[in-house]
Amino acid sequence: MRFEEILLKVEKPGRYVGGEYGLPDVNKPRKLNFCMCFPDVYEVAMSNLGVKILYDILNADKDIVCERCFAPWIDMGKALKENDIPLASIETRKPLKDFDIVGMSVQYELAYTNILYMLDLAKIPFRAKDRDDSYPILLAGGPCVANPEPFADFFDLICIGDGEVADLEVAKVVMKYKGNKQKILEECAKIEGIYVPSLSEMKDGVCVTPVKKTVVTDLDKAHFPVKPLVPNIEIVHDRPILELYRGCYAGCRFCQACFFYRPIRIREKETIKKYAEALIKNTGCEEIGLSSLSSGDYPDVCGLIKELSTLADENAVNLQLPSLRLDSYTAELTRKTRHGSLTFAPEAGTQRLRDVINKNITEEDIERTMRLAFSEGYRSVKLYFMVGLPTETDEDVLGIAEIAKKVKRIYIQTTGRKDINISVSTSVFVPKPVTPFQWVAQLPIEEMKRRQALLRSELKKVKGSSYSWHEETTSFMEGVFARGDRAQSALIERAYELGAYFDGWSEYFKYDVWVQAMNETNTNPLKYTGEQPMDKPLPWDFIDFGVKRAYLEKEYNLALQEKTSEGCKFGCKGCGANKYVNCKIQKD
Amino acid sequence: MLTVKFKKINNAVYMSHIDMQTVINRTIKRAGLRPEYSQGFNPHALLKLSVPIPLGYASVAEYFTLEIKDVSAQEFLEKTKNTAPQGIEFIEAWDTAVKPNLTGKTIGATYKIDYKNIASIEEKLNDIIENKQFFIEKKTKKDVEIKEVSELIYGLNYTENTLLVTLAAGEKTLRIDKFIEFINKNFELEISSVDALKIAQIIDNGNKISADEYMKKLTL
Repeated sequence: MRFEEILLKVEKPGRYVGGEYGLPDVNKPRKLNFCMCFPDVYEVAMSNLGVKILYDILNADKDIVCERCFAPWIDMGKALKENDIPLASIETRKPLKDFDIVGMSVQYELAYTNILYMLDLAKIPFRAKDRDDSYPILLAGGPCVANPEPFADFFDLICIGDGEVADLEVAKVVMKYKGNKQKILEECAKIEGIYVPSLSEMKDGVCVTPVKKTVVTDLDKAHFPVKPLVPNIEIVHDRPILELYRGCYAGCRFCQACFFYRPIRIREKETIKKYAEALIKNTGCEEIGLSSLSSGDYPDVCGLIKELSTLADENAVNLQLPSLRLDSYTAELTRKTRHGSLTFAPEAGTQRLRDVINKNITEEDIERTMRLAFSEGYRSVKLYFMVGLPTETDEDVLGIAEIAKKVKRIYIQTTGRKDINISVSTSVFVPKPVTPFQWVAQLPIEEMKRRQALLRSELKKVKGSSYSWHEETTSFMEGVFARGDRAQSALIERAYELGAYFDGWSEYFKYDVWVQAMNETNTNPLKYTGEQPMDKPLPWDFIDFGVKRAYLEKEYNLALQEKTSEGCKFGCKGCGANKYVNCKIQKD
Repeated sequence: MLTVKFKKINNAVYMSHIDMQTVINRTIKRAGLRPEYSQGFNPHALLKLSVPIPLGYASVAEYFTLEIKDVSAQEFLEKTKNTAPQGIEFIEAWDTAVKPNLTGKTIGATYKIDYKNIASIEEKLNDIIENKQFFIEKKTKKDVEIKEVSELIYGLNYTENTLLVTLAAGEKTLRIDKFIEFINKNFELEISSVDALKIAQIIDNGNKISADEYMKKLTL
């Protein structure tokens, strides 16, 4: 079967044909071909801001053409294999193998097998050491590089941090030394943020060659795609996104993004407005969205939203707000952006545990916000929590149900009605690198189940509430990889051979395959999910993230004492990230 | 009210009917034009696509109607010249005082099929239709239903390598993919979607005329 015929036999063929409005000139004369890949389907990939930014930057360079390739859905993957058609780019159907650089954005642990899935379909050997000069240079990026070790053997280069500057520098080096992989690797090792696994020294299974994270120091002047591709099929986040700032003031101790993306860099209000106007005009989309780790903490967020919603109204587009932290919620915002359902994430059920994780939300905050929301007309609330947080007891778990009960009580008091909808969701805590909790143990699967069951039975007593929870086995595997090491490449490879891929899609996650792969590769998962000794180097300690290990230790000790630490909104707490550039501190 | 005729060709053939609505709306907005919106809780642009074409089939005769103020047909075409994605092209537009009700009046679609020696099936296919032996399979929720649909083939016209066929579209429909499937199976041919092109939409306005003729009359 030809590719065109396959298109008629698969689900959503629009995923594979491109032709979007806003395509760059992919036929221009160039010195370098870059393929931007994403190990998930089109609808997910095209929703990713990082992919949009890098695609735009690379194509803006006169010497580079950047195309895209995303993981084909299962039906298309099978058809490509059966018909011996190698995986190719969307724009020109050039096989991945024929590019100079193949970049891969790695967003979540459960996508690791999909990296191999794409390489397999592209007929590119999995391991960097098995690829000679004739193959493209494989470059990884994305949030998972906070601990790149599990997939380090698959890549020639790994960009730690913001890709805006480093990726272009890598492209220039590849341009210059095309065909000489060894020289390319040596030269790229000199670029800030570029980790070259094959050239790094290992000691006791841990990398010891230092790599410094790279950051865009001036976000306000950084490249931003104001004319992004407009997809022809509906995607997950089907709207252009405005990035307000990078980094986070809050300092929640479980959150990797908070520490990994420091220092805090702000995009000025005027710049955001200018971009909003351009995005509305250039995309014709019905809606625009805001993005950052905690948009409510943006300086003068109310002022910004007011101006943006005026702009949105004038242009008949909708302004979509991300979920805001409970404490930054104001009546003004609710009125401007009326939604059917209110989303809050207290994360933990008791004040004690919220203090441990440094989620600075109090019972009073919850009460005040709920009262306000209900008097504004909300009838539906979504509450997000985590189960298995460090020091959690049954009392904390049951505290989640207590919050649901309290929310219901407040609703009845405020409105005199009982028709509330409370949906409670819990995920399972996964200790992540570059957080104060990077040493703590993850709950064993059986214990996860027990606590979920405990909460489930308690919530059954709260009429009008519903409960959903994350599958324990996926959270467990996420935990295995989050703090994994180089040895795990064998596990990922074996699991893929045994049929694991699209693990991030719960209906395709096959835990039994993972168990078999762990057995066959002698992988003890508890080595990774268990408590990590504080006196030994962790697999990602070779990376200088800006945030110092000593700071994370200090925060961890405060957590154990159930003490909060103020976020860095009003003053520097000395985490170390400001060695790149001073964080924007709010003085008001 | 504007009625716009457009092409849907090349890779755009893989856009579904539902996605087309969004794609066209965005194309218009990128041109700096503002369609009229419905009133109510969930306002949407007053843009209505005519009968759907199966996924994978190209057309040079698709239509939509649009409520929009202060824009002439000519201006509309000029402004949207460079704002559509690849494979979508607005080619003609008519400004009418009355609603053309194109979708309601549509009864058929004419396809051109280019295939080597296609005319060789003429006699046998005519027999099949005359004897009411044109069966297609229709999948329902429970099982497969077999239907005889000769009466939904409105016209066949052969030259050596080209077949012009008009199939029912609108209230009653015989999809082009079903038509091709049947002749492929019965005559051992390998006609694929890329060999077919929708070239006209047929209106019943007392007489059977093309949508273009109908729109021209309405405009006068």
